[in-house]
Amino acid sequence: MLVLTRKSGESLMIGENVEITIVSVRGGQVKIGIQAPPDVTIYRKELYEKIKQENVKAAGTGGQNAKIISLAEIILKEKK
Amino acid sequence: MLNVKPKTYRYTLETRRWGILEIDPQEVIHFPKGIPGFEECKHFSVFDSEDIQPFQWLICVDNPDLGFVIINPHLFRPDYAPELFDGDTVELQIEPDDKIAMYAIVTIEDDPQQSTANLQGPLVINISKRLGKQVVVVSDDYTVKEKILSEDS
Repeated sequence: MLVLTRKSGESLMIGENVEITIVSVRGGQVKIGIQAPPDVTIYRKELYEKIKQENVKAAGTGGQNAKIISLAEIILKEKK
Repeated sequence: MLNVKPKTYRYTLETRRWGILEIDPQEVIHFPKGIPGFEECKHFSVFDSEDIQPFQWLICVDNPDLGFVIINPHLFRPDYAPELFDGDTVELQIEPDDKIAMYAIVTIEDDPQQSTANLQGPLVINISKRLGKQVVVVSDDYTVKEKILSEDS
């Protein structure tokens, strides 16, 4: 991991198209501004981690056929 | 000039959980980035099983011990309309005439009625191009654990 130190107002370029600006630093929080082309996806890392964790859990629980069947029956009944 | 349609050679895959599966290569979906937590799995196929309808199986053909229960989110959340990043649309090569399918991965709980579906990370599949991705939906409206059954059931 590349570690750089920046002050409020300073920026970083990632490639030619992504610019990260430190907008403000207050208490333990940093406000970060990002300029990037629309095809770049930007989101908080915790979101990705949440999805990953849920995938791992789901992969492990899919083996309970009887439970899936019983849930399926309830849903089909609900739709009627 | 001969008009010859290429023959589809189905092949069989032996799995511990689902027995012998018949794979049609033209039905296999390429997930260039795999899915979070399973990045090494780049090829999936959707299988129907009458006993679990409306759920379906999403099975990794690269590692057929890996499979997920999936459901069309609109079956229990008719107004589900997550916004996709432009980047995801580009990665999935989505063009106006392409057929798109969306699925949510299901987590089965010990009490099956508490089972949830991941609406924060739906699977978006460009059926026309046979490309898929689990996208991140940046929205406070959806979580990774959305109850499938309504509260009053």
